[in-house]
Amino acid sequence: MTAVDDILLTQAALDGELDAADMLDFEHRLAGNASLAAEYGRLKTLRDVMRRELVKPVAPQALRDRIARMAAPSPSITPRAPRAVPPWRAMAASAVLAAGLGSATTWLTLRASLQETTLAGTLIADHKRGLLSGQPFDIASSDRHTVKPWFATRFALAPKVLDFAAQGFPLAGGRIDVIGGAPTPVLIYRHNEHYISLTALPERAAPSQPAFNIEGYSVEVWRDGGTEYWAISDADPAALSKFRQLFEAASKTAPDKSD
Amino acid sequence: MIRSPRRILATRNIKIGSLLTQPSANERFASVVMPHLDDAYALARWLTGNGADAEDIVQEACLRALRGLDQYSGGNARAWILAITRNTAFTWMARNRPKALLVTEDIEALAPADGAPTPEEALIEKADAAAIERAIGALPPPFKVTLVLRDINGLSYREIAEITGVPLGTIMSRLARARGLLMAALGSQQNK
Repeated sequence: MTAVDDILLTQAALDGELDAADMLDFEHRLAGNASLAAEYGRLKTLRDVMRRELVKPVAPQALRDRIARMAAPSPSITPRAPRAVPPWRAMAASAVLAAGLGSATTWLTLRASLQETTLAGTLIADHKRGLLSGQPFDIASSDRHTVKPWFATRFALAPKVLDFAAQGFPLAGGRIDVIGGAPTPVLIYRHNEHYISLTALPERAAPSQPAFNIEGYSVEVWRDGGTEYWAISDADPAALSKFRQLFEAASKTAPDKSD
Repeated sequence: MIRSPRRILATRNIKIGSLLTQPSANERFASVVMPHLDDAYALARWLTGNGADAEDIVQEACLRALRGLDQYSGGNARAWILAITRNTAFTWMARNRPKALLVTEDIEALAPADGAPTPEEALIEKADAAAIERAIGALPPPFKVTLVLRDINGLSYREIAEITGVPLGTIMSRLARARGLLMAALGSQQNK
């Protein structure tokens, strides 16, 4: 039987833990010691067999995604938000974009002045970001039978997708924004040359608010069956109010079909 | 009305109430922890023997890493996250599989019994993945951790000592004993 120290030495040689001088010594001893050579052979075979047979497990993508989301105050699932951005940039996801088009400082100033009404501020910023990027939606389609399934594959509860093309508010598409750390569906409607961002949020305790106006953007908030809808637009307030009435009326008469 | 970005940040962080305690926490997490997720998963997978438990452990370990990011002072990120994963795995096993952690013998003295036949190299050579996994699965946890960190994760003795908080000499002897047990299991006729 090989002495314990010899086993440790043999093992260290195979694990690449010996420096050149020790390795040289070891090789000399190996050449003149049959039992050491046999131990070396067995250990080397074990190592080779393990390398041959064992595959290092790889973390499943779903786990990877869950952990990335967990670490990100503003997760990176929206296509336009870069991966793993620092929080202030994640928060101001389009500061990058804004910097390209104008000045990030201007944009941050806008954000700062919106702090008092944080949710509205966030939604307006997202709406504005969509306009700045020239691509206000992740999926562009006027067909609600395209938009609805697109959301359905991404959210457990897809928002109601209604179309008001005949009334002057055609559906333009949908996108995913990140509100308070959670991916949130947003529908985009067109009204003349304006866009309306309609965000569907889980209903909160606060009562629904009347229409208001921030930074020149009209905001309408209403509730419908456990969902809180926020409509944001630079269209004039009367038009947005009409949009709300249309949506509420259509939602009542045509309960959402699972299309 | 103009506020500095830092002021906005402070407001935002309070609102989110997130675990992130400093501006760059998310970025640091992405650069410190995320690259070593496979290593963490591999360790947890081998320690528990199944993927679902390994996912729970890795997620829990990452949460701890996120909370403890302030304490990470640079240096070997992989060793750091593997140490957290190892600790999380042992906590998890103590809670869910206390029996697996029971070691009645003096494990440092554990070795193939006297008079046991010398393992045959030719038999070891023929071992397949299932047999190796069984043999590793049967190792006492401290041996298993050492062996997995070395032969699956490919860490150096020094890194393993750092992760497990065990002296280098003990790492070497645990590794030798773990391999001795594997060779005994794989290299004798009775196990075929």
